[in-house]
Amino acid sequence: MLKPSVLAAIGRLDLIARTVVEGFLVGLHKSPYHGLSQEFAEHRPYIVGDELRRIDWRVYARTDRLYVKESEEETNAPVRLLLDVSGSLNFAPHNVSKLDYARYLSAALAFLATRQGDRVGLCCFNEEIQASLPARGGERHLQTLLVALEQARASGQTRIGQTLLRQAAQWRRRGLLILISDLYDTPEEIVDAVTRIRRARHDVIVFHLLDRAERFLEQRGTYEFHDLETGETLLADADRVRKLYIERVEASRAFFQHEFERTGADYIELDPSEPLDKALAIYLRRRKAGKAKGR
Amino acid sequence: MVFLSPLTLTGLLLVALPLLIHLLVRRRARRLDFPTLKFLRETPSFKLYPRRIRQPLLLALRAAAIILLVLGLSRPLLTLHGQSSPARFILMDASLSMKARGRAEAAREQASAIVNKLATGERATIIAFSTEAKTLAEMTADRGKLLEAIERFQPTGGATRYDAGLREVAAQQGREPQGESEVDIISDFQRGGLEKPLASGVTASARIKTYPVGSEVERNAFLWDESVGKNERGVQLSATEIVSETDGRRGARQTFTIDADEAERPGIEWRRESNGQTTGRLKATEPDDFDADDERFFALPALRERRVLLIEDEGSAVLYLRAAFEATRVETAESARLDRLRQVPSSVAELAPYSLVVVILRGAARVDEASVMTEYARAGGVVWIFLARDLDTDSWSALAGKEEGRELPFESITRISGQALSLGAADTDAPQLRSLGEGALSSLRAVRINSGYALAPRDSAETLMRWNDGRPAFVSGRIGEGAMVVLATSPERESSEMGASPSFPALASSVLRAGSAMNEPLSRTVGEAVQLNVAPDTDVKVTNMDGRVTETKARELARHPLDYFGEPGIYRLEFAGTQKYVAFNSAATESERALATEDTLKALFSVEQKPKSLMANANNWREALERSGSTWRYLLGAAFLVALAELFVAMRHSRVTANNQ
Repeated sequence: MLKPSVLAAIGRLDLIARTVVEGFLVGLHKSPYHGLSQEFAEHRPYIVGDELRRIDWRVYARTDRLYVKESEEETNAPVRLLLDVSGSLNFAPHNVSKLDYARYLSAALAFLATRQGDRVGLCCFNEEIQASLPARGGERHLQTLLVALEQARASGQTRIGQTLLRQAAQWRRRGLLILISDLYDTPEEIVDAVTRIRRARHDVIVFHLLDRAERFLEQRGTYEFHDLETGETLLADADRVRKLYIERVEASRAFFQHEFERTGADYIELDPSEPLDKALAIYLRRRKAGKAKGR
Repeated sequence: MVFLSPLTLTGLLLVALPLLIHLLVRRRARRLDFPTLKFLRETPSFKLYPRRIRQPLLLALRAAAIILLVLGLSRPLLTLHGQSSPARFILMDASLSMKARGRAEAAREQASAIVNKLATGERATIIAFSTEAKTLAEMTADRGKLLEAIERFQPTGGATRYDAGLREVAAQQGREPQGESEVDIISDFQRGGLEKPLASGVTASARIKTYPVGSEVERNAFLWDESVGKNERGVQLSATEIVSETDGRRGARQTFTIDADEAERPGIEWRRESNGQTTGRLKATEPDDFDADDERFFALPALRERRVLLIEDEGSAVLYLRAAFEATRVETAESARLDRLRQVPSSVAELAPYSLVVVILRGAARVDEASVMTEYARAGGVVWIFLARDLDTDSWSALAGKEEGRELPFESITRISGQALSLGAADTDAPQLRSLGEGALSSLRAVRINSGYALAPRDSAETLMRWNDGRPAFVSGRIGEGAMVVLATSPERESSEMGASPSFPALASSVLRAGSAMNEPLSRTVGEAVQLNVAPDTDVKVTNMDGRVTETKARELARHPLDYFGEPGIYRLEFAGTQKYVAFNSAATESERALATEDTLKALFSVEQKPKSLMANANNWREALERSGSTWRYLLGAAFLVALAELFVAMRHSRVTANNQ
């Protein structure tokens, strides 16, 4: 699996998504998900915008009417990507910022979901909703989604809990919520929002982006720390505060781990310097589990 | 360690440079974009503050490199294997004669010149000497300390004792590693102070240089050969005023009689102190060029009348004693009143008016009698004891062994029987026998003794005469200010034929004189040890004529008298509930006007030097040491290595910092 720093050299998000997903699937040798996306379910009349390759030409030969094959997975619950684009995502201790990593991850997940016939929605937010796309399937929607991802810019502070609840209020169908964030908001509000969404029987995956540099405060010496969200500064000797800082971060991680586990949400920590396969595997496992439950 | 380029040591100030750099760099903290300050703000605020010094190892290495470099460039020389830099012993004469106009200033100037010309690293000590030596500055290469000690130098009232100074030099040389040394004596070199040969013990490797200071005094008037006596009206003082000039000396004797009710008179001042002592001073009347020796001080004990008390209740002794003391009146032409008591009074107050108490001891010892006699002696009286034939020797020996009798001059008394006795060897230098002529002594030895005792004198007592078999017969012991003398027989007929001997009045007169002389001491000499006859750790308060009070212990007055009685004058001593006035005068030799010639000095102070230890001058010494020393090379090498280490640590630190960023 390619490292994010290598992916950054590719540049185009659609290529990155394709590279990541195909590489991931090749790595699996035999995809257990292939059949899932190809199982026949029913025919429906052709509408403008449907892909021509999905027209069932045999039915057309018999009935002289255009029908497209509706496979089973297209009836699956929608995948909704909620991407935190607050200022803290601009943190880039290495070549790739947390926002870039979040983009690659979102694009890869969208690509994988679309390829499997899932409908994918996107919501980029900080304190406000910056971009929002409803969950849809199809290549065109995927391209629209990728463009929206490329245009996303990180700034300001974030309101994760409030945004989750506001978005969830608009969802008519149960689906899979994927939250990609560094979770720098009031932890209780986030957990409360996820709890409520889980009660509404939505599946939830939380990808917690936490770089090694911010987890272990690896910098040495004295710095004027500049808060990427608030713009505030603080003079501190990293060597002297490191121990207490790590204790606080670990306490925060433990809190999220415990609370999300309690609500039944998947909580995954991702280091932006690591490849994306871990995230994709988690996603596929969650989707399989969701289908097994009949959605 | 000695530095050949000591000025380079100022470069050590550069050590502050790396410290400043570290402190300044600390202020330029780099900016770091960080996702959130939330967790940083949760740490205690004091933890946030950057350390005062970052990279202490780097700072230490930089400072060490600078220190080693500067030390190396200062050309240090380590003295090993007993080698040491040259030592100079600067002796400054602090005797009274140095108070003559300009001498002390000249001495200070000369000493400063020597110190200022010391070679780099050469060490010196400043020793002031008069009656005793006192180190003003310990051996050091620090010129500041030496010059400061020279500024403190002041002449005292002591006598010139070159030996005292040279003994101190010898003692200090013993503590010094073997090496070059030079003794510089700065003095007026009075001719009077050089009369005794020097016995210094200064090692032969030392060179002695003399630096005469001050010019000869043109005219000096001073008092000489003073004496003090008592007469019916009070005290009689006499002194000879000497006027010494370049063309010779002339003197005139003056005699003064102090009446109790007499007012001041020219040339003499006196007063009665509260304890009955008479203190005062005589002044030279002639004008002169040296004022420090123009006065002579005296402090007399409380005046006692010239009265003798005979304590005797029976026998023929009274008759003989009375006759003997009547005879002293004729001999001395002084009135001595004679009184008699039949027994020792119970109060010492009854004995106080007498200058001599004569007692014939009989029978068993009585503690109260012994106590009264002892107390009388302690207050300055003299007790003359005869031992009668019926003396209980056991009880007196027992009393001498007890606390109550510990001041008696004997430890035991043993009766001598079965042999013919006569007096034998005599200590004719003893004050009690000094007035006896050869004839009187021969006559005394010819006296037949019927009953006598052998005395075992205490260690502190003196034996004045012995029996013909060598055993002590006549002993004397000091008790406080007075004394107790014991003759181990009696003048009565049953004991001896002494009472009827023509030598007895002479003996009585001699004892009476000795008692009077002892009670009327002249002033002491500055530097003379002061014995107070009290326990060594007794607290003593010393007040000088200016009213300055010094508190010390009795033992210190005996050990370092110059520290307390450095100037001529009258001092009040308060100790053990009593007061005592003591007068101090400088030695008469300090009034010597004439100075030694250069030839005299060369003859007295030339000390042969060992050729191999000679150094032509300070430059030779420096060159020799520089050739043999390589300390600076090691230091520069170490500085280079530390600089390399510093470079390595700095590069490593830069790499780590770059990685972090």
